[in-house]
Amino acid sequence: MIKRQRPPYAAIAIVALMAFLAVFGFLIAPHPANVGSLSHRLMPPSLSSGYLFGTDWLGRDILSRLIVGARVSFTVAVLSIVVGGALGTVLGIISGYYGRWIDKVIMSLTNLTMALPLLIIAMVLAVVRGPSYWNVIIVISLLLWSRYARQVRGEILSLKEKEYVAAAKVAGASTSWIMARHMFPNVVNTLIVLATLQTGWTIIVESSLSFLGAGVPPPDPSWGTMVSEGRSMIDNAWWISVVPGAAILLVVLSMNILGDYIRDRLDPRLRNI
Amino acid sequence: MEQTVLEVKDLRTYFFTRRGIVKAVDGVSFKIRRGEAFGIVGESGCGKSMTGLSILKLVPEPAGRIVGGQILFEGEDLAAKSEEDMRLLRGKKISMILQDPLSSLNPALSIGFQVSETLKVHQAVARKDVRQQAISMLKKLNIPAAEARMDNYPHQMSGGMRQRVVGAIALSCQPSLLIADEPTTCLDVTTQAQYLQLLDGARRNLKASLIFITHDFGIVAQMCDQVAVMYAGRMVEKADVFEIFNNPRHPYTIGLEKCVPKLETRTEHLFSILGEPPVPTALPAGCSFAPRCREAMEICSKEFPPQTEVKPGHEVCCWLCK
Repeated sequence: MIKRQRPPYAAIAIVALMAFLAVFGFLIAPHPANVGSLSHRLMPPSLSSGYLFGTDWLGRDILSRLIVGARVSFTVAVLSIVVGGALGTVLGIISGYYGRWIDKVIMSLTNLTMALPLLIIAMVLAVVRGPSYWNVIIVISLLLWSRYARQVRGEILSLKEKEYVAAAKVAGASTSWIMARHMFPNVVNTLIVLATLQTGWTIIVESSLSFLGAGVPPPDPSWGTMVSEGRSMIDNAWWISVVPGAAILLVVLSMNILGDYIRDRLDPRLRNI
Repeated sequence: MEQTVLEVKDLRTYFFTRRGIVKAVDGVSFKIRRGEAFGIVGESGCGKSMTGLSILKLVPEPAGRIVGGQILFEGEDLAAKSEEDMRLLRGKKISMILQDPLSSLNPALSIGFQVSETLKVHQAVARKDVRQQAISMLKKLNIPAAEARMDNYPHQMSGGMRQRVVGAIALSCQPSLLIADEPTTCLDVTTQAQYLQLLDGARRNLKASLIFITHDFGIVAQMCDQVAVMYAGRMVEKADVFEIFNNPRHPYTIGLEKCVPKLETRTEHLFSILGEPPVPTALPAGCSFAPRCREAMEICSKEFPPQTEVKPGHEVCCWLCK
């Protein structure tokens, strides 16, 4: 007998909190995120000073920057996954369903993409075009799409042999109808699981890019940028790097736990015939 | 006035494999009139399903191909039609019920969507009427609470009901010809009987012709007007249903008939036809049944017997009947 797992309440709470902050955070941030008060520079975290997580060298409130940074990281993560996922899914379905040369071409493209040193390309792009949101989203989408394409293609390879596909052909459905209305709904589960499991990774990639200076442009705080900015002050003002770093850790961990849980719940064992 | 809905002339469907050519359908000819039920009986692998698929031009490519013959549907030769033209016919004028109807339904889509699918694909009715038409099809197949069932998913229905949904889908665009490929194989006997009655009633209402492909002689006796017996890709006997049961002439048909145990006769041993069907890539010369035939003559292993009309409407391919 398979025991029903308890939902991971803590993980859900953390993810929900991040989503909430991403959308409404700017309303509740106690201080402006981009403007510092020079008389309050480098204050350590304390409950009484009004700067819960301290301030950075410009006097900007770390908590407020954290909140606004949540929005940046979250938006970039969601958009990248949507763009990369959509591209990967469409190409994966086409590749798996048609097979033959289209399949070979698309799979070669995935190999190519996976072989590219995308972090370096991201940095080059940042130098050439200047840092921008879209640079980051494009780069991360390129990193992500091949995983979706391969996963979806694998599922389609087995799904297209199913009897209901033959039944749809017999009923006169066109190939595009079958791909969109029959194949796609059957891979949605996998997509949901992939997306949740990749959100964490995407946040890390975005943070890394920002850390390296190839991410979102300053002064917009991204958690990665904040970690990077605090690097040189780590021995006397540790909170500037550690607080956003801890936030990244918590959110990524929660997304992974949540993703695992969703994957188990959406498992085929729930298909009761 | 009886019109011919389908006339198949010398249909040949071959599979080109590394081990040789498999002549799945090797010179099959028959005619079906409007409203008639035509049964095709035979062992597994004799080519009966492939005949059905060939009519719809859904032969699995690239290995399989229709290499010859004509398929005249309502006057037009389907063998010459393009894929796009065929797609417009499938589901609309010629429908097919596949072997395992339980997996013919997509588990991720609602019943309502799947029953309306053919209607939508062929735009057979106005968009606003699609749902109503789908519900009425479900009702015709005796599905209780049809309106509520539209939002159900396949796993929420019993096997017999899913069977009927598949029947509803096949008949939704009111085709002139319905091909049923062993639709009752996966059902228990009582569900089978109910289903066949429903299906037959529904298609008679639509005045649709039926090709019933099966290995079950009993069902054929119940449902069909004409019967053809296939062996190794060829039709060895063809007659109307009473003729074929009362007066079978081909040794294979006689053997098949003997294999079915009857209530009236007491037997100690069940009869079976000795031997096995031939390997598809290595068909014997002459009559394919000769190696297993009790009454084989010398000429049987040399030449394939021509079609002989032993009585009007009763054709046999056997040297014994020449």
